[in-house]
Amino acid sequence: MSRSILRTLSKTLFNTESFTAYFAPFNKALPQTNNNDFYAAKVANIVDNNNEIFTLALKVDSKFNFTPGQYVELLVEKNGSFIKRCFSISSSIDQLKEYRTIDLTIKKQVSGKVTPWLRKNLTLNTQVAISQAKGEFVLNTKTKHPLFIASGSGITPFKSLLMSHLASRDFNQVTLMYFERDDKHIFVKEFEQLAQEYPQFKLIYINTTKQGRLSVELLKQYCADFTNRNIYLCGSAKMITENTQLLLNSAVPKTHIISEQFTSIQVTDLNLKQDRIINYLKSNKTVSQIKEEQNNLLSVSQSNNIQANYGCGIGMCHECKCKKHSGIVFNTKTQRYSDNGEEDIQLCISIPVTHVSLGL
Amino acid sequence: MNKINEDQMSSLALELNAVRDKQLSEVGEKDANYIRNLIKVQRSAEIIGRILIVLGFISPILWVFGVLSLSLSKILDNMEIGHNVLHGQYDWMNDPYINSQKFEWDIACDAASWRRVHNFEHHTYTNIIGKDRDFGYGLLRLSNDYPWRLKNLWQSVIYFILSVLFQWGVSFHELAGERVFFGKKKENRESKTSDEQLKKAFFSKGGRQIVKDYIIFPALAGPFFLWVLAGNLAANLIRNLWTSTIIFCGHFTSGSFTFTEKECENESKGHWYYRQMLGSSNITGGKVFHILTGHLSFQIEHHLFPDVPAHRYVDMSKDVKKIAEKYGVPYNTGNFAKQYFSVLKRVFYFSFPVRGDKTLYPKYSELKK
Repeated sequence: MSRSILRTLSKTLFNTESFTAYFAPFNKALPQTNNNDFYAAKVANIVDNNNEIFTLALKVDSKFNFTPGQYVELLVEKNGSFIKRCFSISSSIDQLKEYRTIDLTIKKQVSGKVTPWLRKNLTLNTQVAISQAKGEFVLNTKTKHPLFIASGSGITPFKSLLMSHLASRDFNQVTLMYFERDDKHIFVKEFEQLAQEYPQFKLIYINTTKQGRLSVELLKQYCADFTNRNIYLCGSAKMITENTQLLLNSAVPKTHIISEQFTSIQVTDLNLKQDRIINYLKSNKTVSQIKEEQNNLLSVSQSNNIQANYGCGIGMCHECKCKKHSGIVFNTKTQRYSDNGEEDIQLCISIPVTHVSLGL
Repeated sequence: MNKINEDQMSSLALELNAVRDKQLSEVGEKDANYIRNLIKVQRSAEIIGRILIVLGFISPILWVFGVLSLSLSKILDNMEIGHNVLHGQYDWMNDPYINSQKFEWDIACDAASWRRVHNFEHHTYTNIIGKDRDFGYGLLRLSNDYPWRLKNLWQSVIYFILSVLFQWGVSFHELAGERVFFGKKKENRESKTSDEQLKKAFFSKGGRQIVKDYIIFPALAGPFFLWVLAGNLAANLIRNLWTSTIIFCGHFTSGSFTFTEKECENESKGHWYYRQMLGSSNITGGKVFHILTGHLSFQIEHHLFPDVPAHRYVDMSKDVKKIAEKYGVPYNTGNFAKQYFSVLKRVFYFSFPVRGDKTLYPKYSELKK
């Protein structure tokens, strides 16, 4: 029976989008796994890499696959609410094939709402869900001698890339420059084992406290031919911006630089007096709000001719609800800041405090 | 009874906000488990009910239990689950199914049309004559703000018919059927949805409900077609009578005030709260009774805090009652018999013309300053 007939039948008989949706409350798996957006997964192991970072091993659905370097959205139920966060996969493709598990290596954000909670509350066999693997931070098949530059928790996709591609002999030469404070480097044992096993892998740990951040001197010292390499960068937004500029200034062609940015905005970091950009994804419009403006998103949308549903205007009827894809808003009714990730918000009581992307 | 002044309204708002914030800070896993478990009960009751109705050929007792079980499922679906989910009480869960924008319920009125009218019009303009279309549902004269007409003479019969066919009455009313089907337009009304969209929603959802309860499920029973058809009809009737009765008891009892548009112009949050308290009424009862009413037996709390998970109204009512006493605001509550009798009396009372401006029923304008 075709999908549309089943859907119509389910809507008619049970008022649900599918028969699975009708029985979802009886199912242990997270309800998001009923469509194809998420795969069921459960916690297989948790290991602390150090006091700030831990690795979560997940047993995943047989249909799940990924390309090394990609990330997934991890979906968990926290205090009755489903929350999503993006994390890079740090394990090899062989691990997935052999054990049907993937590793997510996660840094606990000091005042984060989710990452410390994950470490504290996830236990063996906890049901979670993961999205399809996403992202373009993957190896170009023609790249035979790349330079990998990682900073902090930006090391995670490189572990997957190295373990997968070294094993399949995809590199003639590969250099990893791993920047981290003091002795906080993780995966030391795994990387040293790889370096011993594969002579084409050059591993360089850089202690930023003593040696500082990336510089032309360091590049010349450890990877003299860096201008001829494809350079992969992964770290914070600041690290990506600064290092990209440094590489461009050093005559590295823009096409040779591939980067992945780990963004994490904490409410404690908010600068409430900054200009904000509201990105309307469906209307393909952007609107700037200067720092002095404290207008709610409904009035911003209306004054810029963006069509938005609305009703009471006092946060009661929920008619102006829409999807916020990213950014933090302040809820004037509950006097609370939102999460930075994807969620539904009421436009009439939401004031943007960072750049915000909306599904309007 | 005197009106409270603006200063009192400001402190009333602060105190009621504090009641809301306390509950919201506690919302979490307990609430998620509550609504999920209730959905499990509702779905189990539906499945069991539909099976027992078919088994009615073995013994009519099974048929009766089947009807009761299916009625329970429909009542839970419409009241504690549907009504409250569509108010956005559980949107914080980020659940793909328990979500105000996606939930659909077992009733003729499509969820989106109902949400648009009920959540916005009714809850924003509660009991404001001319703005709150739910006041009398366009069929009943329940205040002398409306002039008496001959047709009001038999409105007690109309009320009975409305209760019997309540799901269709709601569906017709929520899409502004008088305007959409009969072209009766009102000057101060604007619709963000076209008549065509409203008609489509009406026929599409209503049609699906008819096909489900009166064609597909009976047909699946083969030779017991009529048993199932009659069972579904009976379950819908029980649900209709229950929901209409509870809703009328929350709004049209003897103590429910009416307001004029002018009285509510530029109204403060405190005044809005004050109006909700004066315009609603509660029904006392036990835990199961409250669940079956969707906690609309706490209509006062529901109108004050429509998007707080409704099972929390039991706790909130203790604080709201104290605040009402402190400010001298009437807290209209009573047992089911008292409140229902008071509704019937009001429907009957306004069937007839009333001499003079004064009636037995309160108006905000009649409160002393």
